[in-house]
Amino acid sequence: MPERLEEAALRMVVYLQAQRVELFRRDRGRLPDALEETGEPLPGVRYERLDSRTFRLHAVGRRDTLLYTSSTPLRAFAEGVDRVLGASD
Amino acid sequence: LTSRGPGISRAGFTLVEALLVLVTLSIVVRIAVPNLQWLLRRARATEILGEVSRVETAAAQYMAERFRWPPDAPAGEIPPGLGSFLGEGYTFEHEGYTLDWESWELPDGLPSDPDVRALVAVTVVPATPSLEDALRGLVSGSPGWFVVGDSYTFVVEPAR
Repeated sequence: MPERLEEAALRMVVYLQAQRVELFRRDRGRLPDALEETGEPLPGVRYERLDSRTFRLHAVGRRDTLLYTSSTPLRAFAEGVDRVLGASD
Repeated sequence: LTSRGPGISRAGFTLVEALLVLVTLSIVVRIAVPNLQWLLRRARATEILGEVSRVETAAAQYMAERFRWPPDAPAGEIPPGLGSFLGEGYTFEHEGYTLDWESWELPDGLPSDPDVRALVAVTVVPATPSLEDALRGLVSGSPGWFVVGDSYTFVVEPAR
């Protein structure tokens, strides 16, 4: 698998997982204590609640490791993920 | 082996000939067995893609009948209601791999398409790295799938 696609796949997974966490926050008014609270976690993703409003996701691939902190706009972080879905290029 | 005694003459192999045959056979086996294993793994990977297709078709039938996609389910479990479209006795637990139906809600949509509200997909979790490689070889270059860790996720459709 090309490196850029692998990275895009990791971003995709973080993007999906981050939206699950955001959905949980909207429903319950708080961040989950553990990723399992949001449903079955995606493989290779670790979650850390930094404070009552901020969380961090850590995704580990074969070559890359990605870190996302929720203070970063998710859309900017996920730019290019559509490539793995075949929606662009 | 050749046996030559007084008045007896029997056709056979010399020790060198027998050894040559054994060495040749071992070379043939060393070449043929890995190729055969690769062919078997590739056949298995093709079978897996067939199962993914089967689940996708069943999910599309579910969608056509109920106007929504099947709900998310843990790996190895058929989502409620999807079983009737897959046939009696169908399982997501197969020898060497597990299927997982995924349904992700996307309140913020996709980066390039904010109107997408959900993403549905079938994830394959192969039990062995060799099967992973065969699967990767088959789908490489095709759109609509991504791999993370040892899981292969095939996107069925971004839903609006």
